Amino acid sequence: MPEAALEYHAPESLDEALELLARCGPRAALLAGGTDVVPALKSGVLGKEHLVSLKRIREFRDIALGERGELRIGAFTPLDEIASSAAVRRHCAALAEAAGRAVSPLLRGRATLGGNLCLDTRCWYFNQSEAWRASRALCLKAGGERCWVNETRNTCVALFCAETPPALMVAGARVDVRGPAGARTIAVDALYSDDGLAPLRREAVEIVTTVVLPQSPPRWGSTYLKLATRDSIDFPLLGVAAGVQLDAEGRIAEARVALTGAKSAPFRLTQFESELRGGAVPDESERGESVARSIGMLYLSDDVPYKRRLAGLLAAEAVRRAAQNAKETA
Amino acid sequence: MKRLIQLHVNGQAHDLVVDPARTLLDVLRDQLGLTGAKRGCGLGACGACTVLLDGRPAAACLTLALEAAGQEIVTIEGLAEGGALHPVQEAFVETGAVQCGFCTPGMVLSAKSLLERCPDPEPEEIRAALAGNVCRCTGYVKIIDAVSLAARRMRGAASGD
Amino acid sequence: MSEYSVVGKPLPRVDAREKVTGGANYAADIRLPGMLCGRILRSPHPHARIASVDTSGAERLKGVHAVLTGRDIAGLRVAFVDTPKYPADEPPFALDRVRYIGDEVAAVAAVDDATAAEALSLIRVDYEPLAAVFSAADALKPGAPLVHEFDYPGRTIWEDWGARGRPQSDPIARRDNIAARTFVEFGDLGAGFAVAYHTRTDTIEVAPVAHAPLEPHAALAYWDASGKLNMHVASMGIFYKRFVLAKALGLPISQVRILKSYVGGAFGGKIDVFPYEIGAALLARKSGRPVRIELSREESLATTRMDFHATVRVKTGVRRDGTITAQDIQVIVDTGAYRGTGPVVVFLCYSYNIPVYRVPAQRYEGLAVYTNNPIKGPKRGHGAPFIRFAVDSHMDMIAQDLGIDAVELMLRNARDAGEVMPTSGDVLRSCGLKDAITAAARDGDWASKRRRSNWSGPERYKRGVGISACSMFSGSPYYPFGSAAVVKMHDDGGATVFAGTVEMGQGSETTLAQIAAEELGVPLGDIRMISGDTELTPIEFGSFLSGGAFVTGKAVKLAAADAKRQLLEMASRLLEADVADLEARDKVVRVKGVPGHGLGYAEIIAASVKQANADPIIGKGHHKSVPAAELHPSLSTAKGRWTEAYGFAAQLAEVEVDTWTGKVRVLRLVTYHDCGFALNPQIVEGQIEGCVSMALGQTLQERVDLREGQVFNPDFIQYRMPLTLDTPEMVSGMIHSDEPQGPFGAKEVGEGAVSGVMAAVANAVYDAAGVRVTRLPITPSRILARLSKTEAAAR
Repeated sequence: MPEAALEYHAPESLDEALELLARCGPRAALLAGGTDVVPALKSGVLGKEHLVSLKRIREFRDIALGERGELRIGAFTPLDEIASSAAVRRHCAALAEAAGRAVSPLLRGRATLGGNLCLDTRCWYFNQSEAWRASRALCLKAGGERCWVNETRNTCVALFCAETPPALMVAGARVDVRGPAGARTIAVDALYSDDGLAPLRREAVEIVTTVVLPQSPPRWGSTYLKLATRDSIDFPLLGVAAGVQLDAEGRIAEARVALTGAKSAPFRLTQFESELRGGAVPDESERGESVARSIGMLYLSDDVPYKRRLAGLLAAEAVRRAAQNAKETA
Repeated sequence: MKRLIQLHVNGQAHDLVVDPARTLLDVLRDQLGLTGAKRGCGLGACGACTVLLDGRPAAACLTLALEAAGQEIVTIEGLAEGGALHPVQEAFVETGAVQCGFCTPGMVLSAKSLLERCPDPEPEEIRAALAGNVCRCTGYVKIIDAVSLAARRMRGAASGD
Repeated sequence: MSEYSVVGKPLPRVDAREKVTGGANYAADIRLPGMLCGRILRSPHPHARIASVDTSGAERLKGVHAVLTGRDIAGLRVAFVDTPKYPADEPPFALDRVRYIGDEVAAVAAVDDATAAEALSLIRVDYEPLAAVFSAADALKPGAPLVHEFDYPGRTIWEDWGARGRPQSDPIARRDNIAARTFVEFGDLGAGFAVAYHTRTDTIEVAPVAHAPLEPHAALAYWDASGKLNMHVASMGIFYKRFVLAKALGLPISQVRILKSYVGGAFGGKIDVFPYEIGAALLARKSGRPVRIELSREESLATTRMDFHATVRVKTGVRRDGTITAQDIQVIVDTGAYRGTGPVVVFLCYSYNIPVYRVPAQRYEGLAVYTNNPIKGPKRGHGAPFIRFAVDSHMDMIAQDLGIDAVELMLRNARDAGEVMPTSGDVLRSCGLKDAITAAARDGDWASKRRRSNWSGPERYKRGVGISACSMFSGSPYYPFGSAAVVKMHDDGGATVFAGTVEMGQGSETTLAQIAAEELGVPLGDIRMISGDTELTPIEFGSFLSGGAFVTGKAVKLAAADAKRQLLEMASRLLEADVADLEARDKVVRVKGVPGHGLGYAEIIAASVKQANADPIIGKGHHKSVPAAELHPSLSTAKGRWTEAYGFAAQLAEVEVDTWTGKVRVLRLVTYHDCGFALNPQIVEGQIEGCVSMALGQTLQERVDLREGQVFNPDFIQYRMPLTLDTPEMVSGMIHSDEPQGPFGAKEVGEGAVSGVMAAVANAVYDAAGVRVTRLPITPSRILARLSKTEAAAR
């Protein structure tokens, strides 16, 4: 199919952008860094007639400390600025690490935090060219009627692979979303539907504007670990963020562990978190076997037992490192 | 619908009529005849299309031409000044960091940008900065050497040696 | 070698400046007035009958200037191997059948890419899918669907080159999917195994990998006013290409010209005459305008050529001291939907293996099997990677079984200079194999690092070392059977060298210029290269046969020597001295031992023009790749002289295995490459480093993910080549064995440092963690799976 004639808009303000979205609705795509939209456009899966560029909007590109010690990051801030920001590193090392490991140095200067939060899910059968897709019936995500991966239940299991969301989740971050009806602030987790087909709980007419990380409690540390074949360019096979708060005795008061790359949304390992609560920081003998056992069905992996095992291993390792960082900030 | 835009490339302004779906890479190569930026993969995963946008390396194949309007675009053709090679280019020539040459424009631009931000990089920092530029020929060894050499020379020149 | 002024020196490449400034033109960079954009329509099915093709919609589309289908070239077949035994089997555009996903069906040329894409979408093809096979094992089963129902004997290229033909010309019905078979047997196998102290059998498996040069395939074609076809192609071996193109298009050879473009890496994937090239030429003829076809990365990776899926079973008998008494090898490769290079690779798995270890009795069988997978082509090493991976993993285990040090075992079996290869009769006139093994072991700290790891210990990170060796040829009797060169002197004493080499990164323009400069006695800066143009340059052997330095280098040296001889003869008249008393250096001819009595080249040339009827001094040289052989040895029996010189390499890997994640980090890779003589050490190092990087990619992380004939990772996010972050410390050493036939003693470099890496890494992983992986790539999940088994067994 030839590319439908595309209309490009470059609004000068957020209000103008919202107006455009309200008019075009689901036929419009937001264009931030373009690192997700442009590949989709080229491979014919974008399915939009309007591109609404955010490049002229001057706001939402800052990293600033708020009055209550919270860190406010504009959603249009490029990932490389987040990765190299001392303020981010101090506030939430996991976020700086995740931003610095995502994509490649060539794309980090354009990929934005908001774009990363709103990254579409990925699948072997979906992220392919039009010619490739011609070899079989279209999959659910491409507008067809079947899932080639999950043939028994026939639901879309495309994977969520963005790397900043788990870091934000362990920091308890919240997200400002603006729409025609006004603004709302939600927890990062609430952005995601766990539906490979439509992974975001953001209306097509809404724009994510700011990410707010609350002031970190004392003795809190975080880290982000990425499992991938290569340390650049590759999406993660697994991305694990941990945020750990220690009590005065150095035991775990509270732990949060979040994963990306395993399901259709980033998710917390709530069972593992409750096992850790109140206990000593696990030593190296802890390999996260309970995580491996409880993580559930994993799709789109060539070696599911391996992935389960590594999920547990990395979760335990991330907790250890986050705890170490917590000690160092105390 | 096509639009009239102005692109600033290598210090020169160009008025162009461009379709919104066209990438900067397409425009540079097909409309401006600047073929130094190459088509390698179409997904921003190889770095052969690297250009500098306001000094930062970017994948021209994933940048819509309309988005690059208003930015300073530098391609490999804009690096040498009056026939004199940039120290990074010189170092690539001397150390044997060029084989088939297809990745070279992108590598040189990424390296130039690194050295402007970080004049005294460790080899690890060089590797990290070039980790989005794929080379299939050299195994990267001489490329890292070339960037280190260029850094030394540029620091030497800066301190007035 | 301080006696040389230009060769043997790490001089900067002559093409580097063009490349660092973006001025170097590759096939896709060249634009011509009125140029059209071409695109190919490809089969989405792995196996199907074509019931009908309707191109009318495309033809009617505004902006489309030409459309072609299989009907336009009915009866034409091309192939990398086109011999009486293995006649060409690939129609460039399908007529009635498609046999793999990506098989070409039609092509269009239009004013721009968007129009060409739209035109493709308007072509209606009626496919009737057929049963397909996707593995060699399945294709060999009785009753398996036949990928090809007929062979089509016709006048083959080998017959054009002098091979004896077969009388039949009717299609011959095929009974199975065996595309080619090589069988070699010598010595008394039974007796050899009978006297063996120990016998062992191992099977290894190698996944297909992609060449993935950074430049995708591209071609530009235009017909000039004289009716000649001109092309810019991303290709190795332009004379071979011209021959096959001319034949395919029914043109006299001199009506086809391939002009120079730089090539952005090839590694063997850009040799075949591809349908897109034939398509560009035909579309240009139909439309009357230049046509450029640039393949997308997906097309380049998934539909042109790729390396083989291979299984190798090796059984070896050894004496108590580890010396080999007998060896039985079986290789089975999935060659894909057309024969591709299948017949050659199964010949090479024998030919690249036999020069390494002494084997008194051998049985070797190689089968190339048709499947409905993409076609296989030669990839850097061309079979040597998998056969050496198999044999040296196997030898490492034999060493373990016998309690002998693996390096010692290799040295006891390694060949020496002077040995004669059993089926070809090739002589190893130079052989630095043992020196390479010893040097690699030394620089890799073998003695202090081997078997130091505690396999069952609690440490997370475990280290080890492993070693392997390989050999490579330096050209063989294959069209155009040799190279020639011309050296044209200029008024000022500088010279231009005309040589048909294609500069694709291997540095041939530079090394040939260095050879000419050395021989001629001028500085490198006074040599210009005209290369890669079939009209301007004489025949060239084609670097895909690893003969760039050895064959073309020799031709250039002879041409420069011829020019120098003429200079000296003229000078001897002018200086009134015997030629034997003259020396030519730094653009001056002097009488030896008489300072001040000399003439500059410029003066000599001026005098020649004035006094010798305008003779401006032009030198000519030529060299046959294997002087004693008329044609390539038999692919099916490996009998016949094959090459004049063998290169060797030994490679040692030091690895660290993370026993929790299975990840392997290569700490160090030591290579000692016997290249005879390093014409330009910087270029040789660069080739070694590039070979090692590519080899590590194949060993640890690259794999074409083929499922039911479809490539699931045809892009550079999912097909994972090594990055800067993956580069280990590399030691790139050279052994100078001074090949007597090579120019300045040089022989092959560019392919030979690949095939020792695979087993070196696998053996190092075993040394580190006690885990033996016999399948490539050696992925973390494979290592962890074996570690878990070992742990479970221990408990």
